[in-house]
Amino acid sequence: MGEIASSHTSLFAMTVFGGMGFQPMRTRRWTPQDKLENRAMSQKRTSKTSETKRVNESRRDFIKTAALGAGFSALAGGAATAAAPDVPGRPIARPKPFEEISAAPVKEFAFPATGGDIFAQVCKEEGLAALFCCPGNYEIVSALANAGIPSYGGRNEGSMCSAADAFIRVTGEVAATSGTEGPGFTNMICAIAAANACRTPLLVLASNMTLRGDDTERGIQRGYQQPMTEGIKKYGKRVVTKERVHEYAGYAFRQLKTGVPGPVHLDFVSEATGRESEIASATDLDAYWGRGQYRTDSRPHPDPKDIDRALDLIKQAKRPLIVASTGVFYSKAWDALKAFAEKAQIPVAESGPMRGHFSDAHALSASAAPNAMFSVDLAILVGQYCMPGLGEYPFDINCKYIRIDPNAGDIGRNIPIDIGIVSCEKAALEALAAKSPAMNHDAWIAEVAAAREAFEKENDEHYALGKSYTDAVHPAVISTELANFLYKGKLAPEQTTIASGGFGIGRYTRRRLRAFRPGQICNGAYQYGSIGPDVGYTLGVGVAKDLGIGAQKPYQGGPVIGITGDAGFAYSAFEIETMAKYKIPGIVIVYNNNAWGTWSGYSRMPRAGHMHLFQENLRYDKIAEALGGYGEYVTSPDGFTPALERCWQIAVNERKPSVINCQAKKEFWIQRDFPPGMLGKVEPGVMAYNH
Amino acid sequence: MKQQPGNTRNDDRQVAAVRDLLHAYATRGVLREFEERSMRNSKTEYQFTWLLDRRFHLIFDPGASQLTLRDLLPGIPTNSPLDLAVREFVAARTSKQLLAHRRIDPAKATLTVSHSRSALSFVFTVKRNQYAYAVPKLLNFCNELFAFLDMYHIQYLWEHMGVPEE
Ligand SMILES: Cc1ncc(C[n+]2csc(CCOP(=O)(O)OP(=O)(O)O)c2C)c(N)n1
Ligand SMILES: [Mg+2]
Repeated sequence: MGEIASSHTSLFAMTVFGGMGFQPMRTRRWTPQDKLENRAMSQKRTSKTSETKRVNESRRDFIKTAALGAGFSALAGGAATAAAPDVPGRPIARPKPFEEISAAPVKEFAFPATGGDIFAQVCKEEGLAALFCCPGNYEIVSALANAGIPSYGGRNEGSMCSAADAFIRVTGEVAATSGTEGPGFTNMICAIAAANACRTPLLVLASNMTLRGDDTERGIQRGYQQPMTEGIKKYGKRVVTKERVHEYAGYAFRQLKTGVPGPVHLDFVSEATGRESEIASATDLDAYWGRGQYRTDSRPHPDPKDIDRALDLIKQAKRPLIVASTGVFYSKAWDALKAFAEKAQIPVAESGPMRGHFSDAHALSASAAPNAMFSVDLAILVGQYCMPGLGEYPFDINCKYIRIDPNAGDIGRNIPIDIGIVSCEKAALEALAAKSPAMNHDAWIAEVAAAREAFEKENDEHYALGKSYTDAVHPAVISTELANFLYKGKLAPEQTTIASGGFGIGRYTRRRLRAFRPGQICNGAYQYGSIGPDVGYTLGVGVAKDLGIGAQKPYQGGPVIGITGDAGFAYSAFEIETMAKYKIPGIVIVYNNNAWGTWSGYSRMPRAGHMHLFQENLRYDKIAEALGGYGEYVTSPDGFTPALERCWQIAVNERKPSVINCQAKKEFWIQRDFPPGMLGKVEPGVMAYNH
Repeated sequence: MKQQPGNTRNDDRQVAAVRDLLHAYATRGVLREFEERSMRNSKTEYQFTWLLDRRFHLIFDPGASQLTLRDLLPGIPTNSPLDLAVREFVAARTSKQLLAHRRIDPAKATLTVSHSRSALSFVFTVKRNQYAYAVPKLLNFCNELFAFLDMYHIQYLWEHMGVPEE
C-alpha cells in the first residue's frame, strides 16, 4: 500500500458534490418557527420517568421529532441549553462563537492567494465533505474552514482522525483530518493505520515547519513525516513549493478518488502554504488545470469474455455466495449488486469496514447465517480489498473463487483465483446482472434461511442466559435489547447509524446489529483491531448523519449509537465534549467490566494479572456529564432499556450526547462460570471484522 | 514413493490415492509446505501447514483404512468441559438432520476422537476405499471444527493455538 497506486479510474460518482450542489452546513436559514419548536423541546425535559413515557410516542411522531432535530444544524445556535450547572452561575455552556458560525461569510477564492487558500480551493471543488482536526496546521485548517468546508475541532488528533475515517466509511465521501507538525501528526498514527486497513479515502494533512530550517533542530517539532506513514497510506508527499500546491492537491485527489482508495498524507512546510506563500495569479502556478484535466471519473469496465466465464462457473455451482465488501460501497454498487443477486438467485454475505450495502432484511442475505458458510462451493469476492487468507473464510475445501477488483495487481493475492475480473465493482455487477440468466438455487437459499434462523435462536439463548445474571449487565442483554430498540420498536429499522466497536462487547453486539441500507454500520477498527477509537468513530458517524452527507442523506439527523469497552472508552472519551459542543447526539454504550478484556487469560498470574485491571465501578457516565453530556449508570439487566430510552429522548430533544455506563463484570468472559463467555466469530457476515 | 517391506500393492494404491487427493490441494495452494513421510507398519504421514498457520499431521494407515489427524488439539484434559464439547460436536457431524454435503455419512466413513497426553486426535475410518469422499470430508470437518472453536472457545485458541488476542 505504500507506493503510488496505478491510476485506476474513479470509484466516486460525484452525486452529492457535483457542480455547485454542495451546500456547506449552516446555510439553512433559521425561521422563528424553529426557535419556538426548539424552545418547546428544551422545556420538555423534566424527570427521568416522564422522559421514559415520552418515548412511547408513535413512530410517526418520533420520526417527525428526529427530523426536526436534524433541521437544527449543529451550530445553528439557539438550541436547548446545556446541562444543569454543578456550581450555581457556572453552567457548562457553549460560548458565543458557536452560535455565530452559521452567519459568518464564506470566503470566496481569488488571486492573489496563499498556498493554503489554493489548496483549500481544490478541496472545495473536489467536494471535500468535512474536516476533523485539532488546532495546528493553521493556514490549511483556517483556509478549509473559511472556504466553507464543515470543520470540527476536537480534543485529540488521533480521535479526530478516527472521526474522519468513520465519517467517510458511512458516507462514501472524502473527508480530511489535520494536526500540527510533530506531536499532532504523530498522535494520528494509530488512526491512520486503522484507516489504511479499511482502505478509507482519508486526506491526512499536517504542517511541517519550514524547509529552510530542516535538520537544524532550531525551535521545536521538526521532523520528516512521510517515512512515519510508510506502509499505512496509499500516497504521500511533503509539499515544499508554493507553485506546486495546486498540482499536489491534484495528486492527492487522484489517489483518493480512483481505484482502491486509501489514506493520502500531505505535509506542508510554511514556504508552501504559510503567510509568505502568496501567489499573484494562476499563471504563476505549475500545472494549473482543473478537476476534469488532472483526473478522470472514467472507471475500468469488465472484459465481456470474463463475464461469460464467470457466469459459466456460476452455473456449475450448487451453493454460490457473493461476498460484498468495501469496493461495493465505494463504487455505490448496491443497486447493481441487488439486481445481480436477485436475477441469479445468489445469497450475499457482507464483509468490510462498513455494512449495509446489501440489506440484512433481504431474503438472499447470508450475513447472519454463519452455519451456511461451510457449504459455499463458489465464492464471488466483490471489492474485497482487505483480503483474508485461505481458511479465514471457512468455505468448502473445494470452493472456487472469482474476484472482482479494480486493481489487477491485487487479484490472486492470498487466495488462488479461478477467475479474476479487473473492473470497477459497479460496472462488473451491472454486466453480470445484464448477462446472467435467471437461475435457481432454492435448496441453497433454504439452507441459508435455516442457518439464519439457527443463529437467531442461538442469540436468543445467549440472551436468556444473560438475563439470568442479575447482579450486573451481561453483553447479551445489551446486544439484544439494543437491537430490539433499534429494529423492533418505534424506530424505522434503517434510521439509526451505528459505530459498532468494542472488544468483548463487540462480539455480542455484532451478532445482533443489522444494516438495512448502505453505510448504516461503521465496523469499528476493522482489521487493524485497535482498541480506543470508538468515541471518535461515534463523533464521525454523528456528524455524517447530522449533515446528511452521501449515503446518510436519506436518513439525515437524529441520534447515532456508539459501542465501546471500558478500556476503549478511555482513549477517545473526551470527544464526548466535542459532540456536546457541536450538538451531535451520539449515545455511547460503555461495557464496563472493570478490566481490559484480556484479563481472563492472565487471571492466574498474580504478578501480571493486575495490569489488565482497573478500579471497579468507575463512573464513566459522570465523565459524560462533566463534559456537557448526559450519563446513565446501569447496574442490572432490567435497567438497560429504560436508560437507553432516556438517552434517546435527550438526544432527540436536546441534541446532547450521552454515555450509558453498563456495569458488567470481568468474570463474564470466563465460560465455565458464566456461559457463553467470551465469543469469537465466523466471517464473512455480521460478525466479520478481520476482513 | 518406494514400496516398503510389508506393504501390499493394495496399500500402495490407497497411499497413492490419498496422496493424490491431498496433493491436489497442495498444488492449489490450499495446503502449504506439504510433506510425505513413510512410517513403520506401512503407515504414511502427510504433513502440511493449514488453518491458523498450524502444522497438521495426518497419518494414513491403509491396513486399518484410517486417516488420523494426530494431536490436532493440544491442552485439553480428559473429561474437561472442552473435551466434552468437542466430542459432542464430533458426534453431531453424523446427525441425520444435516444436509448430505455437510454430513459425514457413516456408511462411507466414521469419525472418532482419541486422547493422549491431553491432546485430541481425530480418527477417520474409511469404508470401502472411499477416499475421494473421505479426504475432503475430513478437511471440511477440520474447517468446521476450527470455526466452532473460534466461535465458542476463542480463549482456548488464544491459550493453546497461537491465535493472537488482538
Ligand atoms: C491500542 C491497543 N492496545 C492494546 C490492544 C490489545 N488488546 C486487544 S483487546 C484488549 C482489551 C480490551 O479491553 P476492553 O475494551 O475493555 O474490552 P472488554 O473488556 O469488553 O473485553 C487489548 C488490550 C489493542 N488491540 N489495541
Ligand atoms: Mg473491559
